[in-house]
Amino acid sequence: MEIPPPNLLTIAEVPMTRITEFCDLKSILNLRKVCHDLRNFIDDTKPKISKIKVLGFEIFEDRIIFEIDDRTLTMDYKDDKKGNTVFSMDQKSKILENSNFFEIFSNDFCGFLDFQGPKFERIYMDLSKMSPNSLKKFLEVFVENLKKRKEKIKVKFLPLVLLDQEDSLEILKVLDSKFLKKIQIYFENFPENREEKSWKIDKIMELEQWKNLEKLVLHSKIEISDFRNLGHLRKCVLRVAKITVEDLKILKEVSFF
Amino acid sequence: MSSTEQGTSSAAPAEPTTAPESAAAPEVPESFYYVHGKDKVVHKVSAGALQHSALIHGMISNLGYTEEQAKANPFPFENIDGDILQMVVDWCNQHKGKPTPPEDTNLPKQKEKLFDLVLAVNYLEIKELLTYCCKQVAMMVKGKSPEEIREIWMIPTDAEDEAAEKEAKKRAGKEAAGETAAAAGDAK
Repeated sequence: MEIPPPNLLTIAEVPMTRITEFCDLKSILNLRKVCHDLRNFIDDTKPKISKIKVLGFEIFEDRIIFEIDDRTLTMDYKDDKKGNTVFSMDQKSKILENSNFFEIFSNDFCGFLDFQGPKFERIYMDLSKMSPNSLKKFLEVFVENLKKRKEKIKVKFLPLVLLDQEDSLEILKVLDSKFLKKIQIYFENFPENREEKSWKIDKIMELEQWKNLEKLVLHSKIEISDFRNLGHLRKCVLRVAKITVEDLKILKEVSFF
Repeated sequence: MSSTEQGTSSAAPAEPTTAPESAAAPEVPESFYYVHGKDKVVHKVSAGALQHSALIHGMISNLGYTEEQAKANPFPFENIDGDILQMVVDWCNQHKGKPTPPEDTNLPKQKEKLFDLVLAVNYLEIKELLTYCCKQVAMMVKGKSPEEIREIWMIPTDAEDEAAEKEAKKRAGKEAAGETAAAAGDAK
């Protein structure tokens, strides 16, 4: 029987684990893409690379930028308008033929969670730069993949940039409500709308994730229909579109002041 | 077995400097053991140098060989190439009784040699040298794209791997069918 020359795949488990311990995040992400054996090995052993605390997603009409630890590492998934995805990381690009950039990103992100685990300090998401129709399609793919996972994402702080509260609902549902303590939302106004719009968050308030929340920061003018819904918050910063004497009484009742 | 005994640096008389305590203590002669690899070339190594290898150290402690017995029974490591064993022996001699430095720049640069060394060092359980080797492999991976890693280490893509597996299964199936037919022929 022919013995293959020694390579990364023929190295025993103990030294291979040591090798991955000395690899940085970029190397681990690249090794996962080499072949299924290395991918399975990394996902099973979960190398002790420095724990990633912050993730960021900027979703554009034709690209997704995935940032790790405040741009320590950035991955870019771009639609080349010819049915291919151009993936870039660390000034290196690769064309993935006949692929959808939503799907490539979603699969990569799930793979990232496989070895990194689901726990993070902060996840920033800007969903305001994609058209509503495309965003709906993207969220279907992205959230569907995350729903298949055993564990929900455990994140403490979620800053969001949105066009509408509806866009955040599916995302919020894949987050572990016991971990999510703070939400910050900035509603992006279209530049053509000169007048400042007021926004609703009533559907967010119905979610389990809202009920366990401790801090809320809203940078836009918000319509609050029932101020009792703010009662459980330890800290809340917001501008309301309208408030009545009755609302103020309610706020006093729920010990907000 | 050809016994081309190779004296190593540790075999040279390297007595400790005459410190006041050692002058008072009775001198214990250093014991030596013998190892050989696939090429059967025997290396004489001091017990002090071999302490780096948890595997050999354990063997020595359990056997309690005399000098003559050790010489007559070199430890055979048939799974390790001669040149790789030589590297290991040299490293153990160089670092005998010394604290190991944080980096080791004398490791082989050729990837095949480095992988062989990793396998040997892992088998011989030489913790510090394994750490250096693993660091070196990690450095070789750093900054490389998946395609470059695949190319450097001749790792097939998933698609190529699946195709090769299918081919192997097909071949095995054909061989099995051939054997069954031959067995049926024999039975007749």
